[in-house]
Amino acid sequence: MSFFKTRITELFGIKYPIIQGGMAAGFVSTAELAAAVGNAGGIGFMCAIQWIQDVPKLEDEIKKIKDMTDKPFGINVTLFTEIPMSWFDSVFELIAKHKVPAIETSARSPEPFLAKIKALGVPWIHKVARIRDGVKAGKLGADALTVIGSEEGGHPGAERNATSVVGPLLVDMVDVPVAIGGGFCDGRGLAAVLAMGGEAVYMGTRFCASKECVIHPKVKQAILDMNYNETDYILMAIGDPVRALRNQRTQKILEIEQKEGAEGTMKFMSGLLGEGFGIGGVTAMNTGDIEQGIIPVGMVGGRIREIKPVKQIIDDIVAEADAVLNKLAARKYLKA
Amino acid sequence: MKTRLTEMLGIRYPIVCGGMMRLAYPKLCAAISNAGGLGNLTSAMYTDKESLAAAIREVKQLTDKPFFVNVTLLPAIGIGPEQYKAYFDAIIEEKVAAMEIGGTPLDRFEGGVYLRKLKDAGVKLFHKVGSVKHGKHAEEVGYDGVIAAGVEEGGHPLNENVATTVLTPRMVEELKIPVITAGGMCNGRSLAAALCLGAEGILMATRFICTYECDVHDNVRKELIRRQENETVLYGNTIGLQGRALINDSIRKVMEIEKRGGGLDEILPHLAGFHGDGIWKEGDMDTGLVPVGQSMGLIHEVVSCQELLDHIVQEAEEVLSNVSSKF
Repeated sequence: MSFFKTRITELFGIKYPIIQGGMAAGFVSTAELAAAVGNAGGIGFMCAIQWIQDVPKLEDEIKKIKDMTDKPFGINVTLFTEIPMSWFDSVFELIAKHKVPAIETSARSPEPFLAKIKALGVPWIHKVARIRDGVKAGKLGADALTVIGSEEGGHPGAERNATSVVGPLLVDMVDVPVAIGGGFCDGRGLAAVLAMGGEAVYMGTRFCASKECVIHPKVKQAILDMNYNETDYILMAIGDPVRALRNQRTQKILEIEQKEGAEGTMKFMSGLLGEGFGIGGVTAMNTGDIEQGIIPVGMVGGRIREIKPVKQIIDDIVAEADAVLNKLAARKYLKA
Repeated sequence: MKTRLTEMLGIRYPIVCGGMMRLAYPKLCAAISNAGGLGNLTSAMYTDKESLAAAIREVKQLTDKPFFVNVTLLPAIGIGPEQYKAYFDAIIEEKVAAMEIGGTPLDRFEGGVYLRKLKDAGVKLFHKVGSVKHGKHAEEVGYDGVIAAGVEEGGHPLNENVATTVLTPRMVEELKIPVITAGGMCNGRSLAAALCLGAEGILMATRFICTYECDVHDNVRKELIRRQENETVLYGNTIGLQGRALINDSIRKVMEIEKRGGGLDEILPHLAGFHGDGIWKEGDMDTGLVPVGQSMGLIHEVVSCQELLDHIVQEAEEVLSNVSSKF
């Protein structure tokens, strides 16, 4: 397998155009996962908000990953409005202090943080679900963008646009390189992303079902067991939709959304805050409560059948993409 | 370029047109087939055997290439069994090359007698499905291929809401018969991506509205170019038939009817298939539902079918050879 280059592999200094996105429903995207992805030739992002209650623990995690890999990794800074600026400042300080090689931002416009992000002087990728947010971040000076379709797990955006459309569309709309996520787990996915004009594949669920990911084994097993049509798209009523594994909890939430609207949903969700929901800390992803917890996974969970070491996941993806693309390129459409 | 689809149908490009009420008439159908793809003649626009047969003959006067006839077997659209039988008889007698079938699979219509008759007549049968379960069923009962329709498509995506990136490869893993990707397909990069996901071709519908050969009011084409990927919405779950349509006054009324529990009878007057002349012929975009897919956001210009198909295939070929040479 020869070396594969895109503007995103060049930007981060990585071997393969494969990104493990920041995931923060409980402890998910920790040093164990991001180091394994980096060591295997991709780049992984650790979500800083996993340690929101305890900033020194984030510093410990950065030290830990540096012991585990000498390859690039990144920190995801989720720009939630309800988080005070002082916390963001402390995270940016740690990124600078430890010379973290890359930063991913997400959740809202990076504009209020622009000077602070730029001052870090490291490669910066911003993640969006809407085309206009991507165009704006491109103009603000992000080095790269990630666009995700509504099939992804976690927060797929309220517009419900599919990857097949927003992927090639954002590529058309911006000059900076674009990573594409939502629906991908294998070499066919990487090949399709490159065919759409993307310069890296962005994955979450596939990396959850890896040996190194610290989530509970029951959650990994639930990903293997699920079908592709067994996710729910919840919390649209309060304008912050989440795609998660269909279970008793998501069905209950959907019922409340339908019967009681935004107000009732907000009240119900607030009532859950003490039970491991909300930002930071341990959640059902870590305790393995796959019926009463919210387990964010993408539709692509229905295509994942094996828990593999990260290196094998990445090697398999690259080998399959190579085979698929070479086979297709050998066909000549016009000269047939 | 050859795929199992082009080989099976004897077409130049792996690009087919989906059924479209009040749009997929003989002229557009023949233009797509002449351009190297597979055009579509949508049967529900005709009331009996003779009128459909006449339309099929009209296509045949315009092209000697194969084309699809679409038959959608849905109780909700108000076509009875006798009319469906008349369609099948016309298709068999006129020796149509291939059919796009939606809704009820043919084995469950009249005990499967027309499934056998159509197969005996050599008509290649493709079923449009939104789930792997339905795709497997189509394969088991003898269909020649399936169209994997992602939730991003216009028209009537299955309410399992699975997107193309997941549905197509999942279908390819489970089926031996060729899979055509529908939903989100619009340009050469769509085709290249669908082939990477394992499809043997793509189906487009919305994109073909913005061609010169589509007989439609120019306002429609202008509106589809102006509007963005995020300006469609899913409706119809309360009446058991999900659809995707352009956001306009009519869909807002339908959503409102659905919200307060109004039924099909209240919604029907707003469906474009029943009251479409205001939109398609007169260009008044707020006089009914306009069933278009999210791919609308990728349409930037009106072109001829020949330019469109040549460009798509050329772009796909370039993309694949550029990308693969990097490995």
